[in-house]
Amino acid sequence: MSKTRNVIKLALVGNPNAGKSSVFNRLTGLHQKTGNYAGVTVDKKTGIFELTNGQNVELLDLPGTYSIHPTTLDEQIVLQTLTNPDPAARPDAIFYVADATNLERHFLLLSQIIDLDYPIFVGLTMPDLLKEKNMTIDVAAISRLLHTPVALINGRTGDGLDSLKQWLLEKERPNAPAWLDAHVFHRDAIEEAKQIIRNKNPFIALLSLQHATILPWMSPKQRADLQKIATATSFQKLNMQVEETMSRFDKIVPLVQKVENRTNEITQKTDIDRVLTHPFWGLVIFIGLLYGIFQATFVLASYPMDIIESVLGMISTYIGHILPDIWWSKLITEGLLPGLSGILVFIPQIAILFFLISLLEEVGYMARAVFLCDSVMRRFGLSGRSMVSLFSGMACAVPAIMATRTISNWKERLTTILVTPFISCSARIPVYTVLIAFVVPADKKFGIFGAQGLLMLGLYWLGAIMALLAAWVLKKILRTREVSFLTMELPPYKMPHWKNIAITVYDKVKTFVMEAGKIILIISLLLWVLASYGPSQRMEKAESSVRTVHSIQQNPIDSTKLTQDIAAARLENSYMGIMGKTIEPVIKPLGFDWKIGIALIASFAAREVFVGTMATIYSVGESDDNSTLHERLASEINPDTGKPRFTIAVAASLLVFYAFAMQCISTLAIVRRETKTYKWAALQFVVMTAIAYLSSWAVYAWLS
Amino acid sequence: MSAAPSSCKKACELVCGECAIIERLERTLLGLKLLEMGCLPGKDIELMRTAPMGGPLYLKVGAQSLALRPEEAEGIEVRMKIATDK
Repeated sequence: MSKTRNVIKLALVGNPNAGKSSVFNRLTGLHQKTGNYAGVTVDKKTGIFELTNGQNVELLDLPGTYSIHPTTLDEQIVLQTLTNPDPAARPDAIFYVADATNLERHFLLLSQIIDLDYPIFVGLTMPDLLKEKNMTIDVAAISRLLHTPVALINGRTGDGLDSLKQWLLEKERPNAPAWLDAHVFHRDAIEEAKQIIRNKNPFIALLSLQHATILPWMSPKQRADLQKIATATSFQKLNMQVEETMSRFDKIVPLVQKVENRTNEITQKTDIDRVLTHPFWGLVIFIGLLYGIFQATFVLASYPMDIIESVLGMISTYIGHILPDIWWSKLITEGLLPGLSGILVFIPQIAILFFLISLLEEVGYMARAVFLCDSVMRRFGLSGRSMVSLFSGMACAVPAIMATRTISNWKERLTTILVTPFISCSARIPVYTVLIAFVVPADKKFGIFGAQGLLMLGLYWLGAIMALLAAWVLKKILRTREVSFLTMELPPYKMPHWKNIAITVYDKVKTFVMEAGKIILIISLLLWVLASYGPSQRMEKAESSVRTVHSIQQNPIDSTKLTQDIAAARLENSYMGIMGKTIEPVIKPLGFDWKIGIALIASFAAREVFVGTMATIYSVGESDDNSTLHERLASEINPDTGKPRFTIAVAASLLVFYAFAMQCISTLAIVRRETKTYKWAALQFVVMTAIAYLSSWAVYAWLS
Repeated sequence: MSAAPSSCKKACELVCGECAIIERLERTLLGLKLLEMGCLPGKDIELMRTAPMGGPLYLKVGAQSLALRPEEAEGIEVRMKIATDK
């Protein structure tokens, strides 16, 4: 058995809420990486840890599932990985994690895994809860009855994990003996299936018959043959699964009765849930929590955001001074650095929001929120679980869309994916901030609330309402025969594992940087090229004419003003300027001119680029100061009317446009990846842009 | 409330705080899912709460808590426990 690689592949398997992620994080720490399973968009989490003899163990965190028979994409992975005959793909051993206080349910999947012929180590989690509930279990007896090593483990402290490591050091790790003989379910069909898949294991043969269509390791010939057998033997898939599950429980229930003692059990108090799931107070608390999180995110994030912006600004200025004045130093200071800044500046908000969301998840509240929202969400064709995604969408749609994978119903998941970008994300805030000032003055108040703050809140509501409305329309259009399940566990409340939260936050930020950041950077560079170059000598001509005007009008020449005017003139004559002018007729009905057109195009990297682009077009210069930009925009005159360009109507129209339009390439890329077709991403882009266009047009027509 | 002749009803017909025993599950994919989540015949089932606006039911099955939509709970047939004075 001398394999060239000196790595033991260990798969972590268990039910949802078994404490799997704590164990995974405890064992591997930050030595984790997230990849993808071939052909599907389920995260493949692996981590490495080392044994005392230097042997490396690769731990694969398989998605949590109640049974080997899958209903969601995530759950399919478990079946696909564990039945795979390819030694390179299948794990060498399994670490099964089960909740010590609920052995009965957690042993169902275990018994199925046992029948797949693996060496298995069983870890029983939540020993502290066991004490709290005043119940006892006989670990030695469990080990004896299952014929596998068993240990109590604590994901929080790491207690008990040494016995796992000890087991991994052993030379021989025998497979656990079969739990039940799968032949009994359909001897003839199983015998034939065994021949086809060339595997002696009857349970794998049974699973192959039941799930041939979703097992990627089969050849098309094998799949077709298995389906023929299934038809010929009138093999009833669902019935068989129920039979199997029942006969497993027939053995599990008496076994568990032998090993656990619940006589002195203290039933957990559900007092908190009396309030938190109350039809009225529960909702009040939920909405209160939403506002609290919302507020906390923006207030807390503003400090690190300011620091990031000023530090990057300083770096940019410094590099600008030391680099020679040629094209590639401009590429760095005007393309690369602003692009980087546009990525980094969102990290605080994303980190804080996901910290709070995963905190709610860790303590067990999120399931209650899903419980409360499910009925409202379903009216709009969404699931209670969509709540989590829509909520995450306030930070960034990219991780939010990736979080939809837990929704088992395809229609509900697709709807969530399609409407999430309507939720106002952090990139819209800078745009809102600049424009709101044109709609309502800063000192205007309604009671104790500032009018600007209320308008900002209103824009968030606008996005949320549009998301629900769009979902409702999709509900009427999309057809599916797939049943929708909620069926969800409400886990007991517990203290959060800070390590789990830290790793989740790290993961989400990494997702944002790697998935969205990559695209933001590429688009920023592309936009820089478009803004810096123009056809033939156009930009140079524009520059020299500005110089001439300045030298005639002013004496001495105001050099700052000159530089700013040159930048504006060059931008006007660049490819980007030409694009802005080309789309002007289209956006004119919305009250926008070509300058705003340029900013709209530039926003495709990330919406907040709007602010920087406007600053350049209106020659405000390098300053990122909003008040300077505001003054400059306020003094801009519309040549057609002779009145200010940024009227309430134009600003409101732009606000609505930014609230609804799909201007984020990163999101489109993720939508394409998650739905596996360009169709939905294209539809999303077209429909959202159309809604934005029509709404802006209506708002402009109404206000002007 | 209609006076049901038998003591059997569906889990979605329980009223808050009512306790029963799971009699059987329907033979559908949903029934299988419920079974896999530990809703075994013979287990105690208690309705703790219902979410607002026809939302899910908060059920206690054995030692664990589950949220099921009303139509999902329809798949669980329950037998009422013989009433005891509290």
